[in-house]
Amino acid sequence: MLGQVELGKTTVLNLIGGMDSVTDGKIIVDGKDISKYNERKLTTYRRNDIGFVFQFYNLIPNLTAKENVELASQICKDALDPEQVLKDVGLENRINNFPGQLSGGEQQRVAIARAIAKNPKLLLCDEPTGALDYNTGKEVLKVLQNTARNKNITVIIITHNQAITPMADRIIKIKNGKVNEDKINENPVSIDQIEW
Amino acid sequence: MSYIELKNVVKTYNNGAVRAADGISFDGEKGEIIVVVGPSGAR
Repeated sequence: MLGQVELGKTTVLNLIGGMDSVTDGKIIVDGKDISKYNERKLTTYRRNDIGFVFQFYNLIPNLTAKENVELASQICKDALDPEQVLKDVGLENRINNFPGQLSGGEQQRVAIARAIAKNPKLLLCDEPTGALDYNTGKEVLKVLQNTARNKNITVIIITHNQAITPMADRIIKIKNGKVNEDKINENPVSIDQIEW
Repeated sequence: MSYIELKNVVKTYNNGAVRAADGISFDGEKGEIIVVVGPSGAR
């Protein structure tokens, strides 16, 4: 193999998130063809329309949970109230704590709050439970599920973990850079009912 | 039209030697949870 190769599913996330541009094809988000955007328009798109959640939380260590969320809410229009969003992800008692004072699951919930506070069109999550233990991972997925259901935000979760697919409305399986399976799940279940 | 649509998305690297996305299409609606699953380390 030559050097480092992008993984198919991560490539998809980078393209939808406007971090990379397509070689060919189209990506339409809320009626806009972002695959035609130049670098400057992509920057605005990333800022206003996309919330990112990564495997590692990427919080600023010397800012509190609230300040980390404010970093995002201050740079975009239509932002949500940082304190309210932290409450929504179950961190009402952690608002003024620093990342180092929080567990991994709590840090990921701050990262999710930061992404949601932008009131994005899409919440893009790349292996969001990859660094978490089983139960904490489930809690984080529950927060993501609630976000889609309660805030009507489209949540895209990239994962290698097949077991979580029953929580999805749509399941897209990617193999060798192609869609291997595209399934609509008519009866998505609460993450509480999924075991793996 | 769906809220999000990918239509035949191709992404190549190394002058086309690596096809990280090879004609990917899918769509989704507002407020949906879309899980994109693939084997770890697989293109």
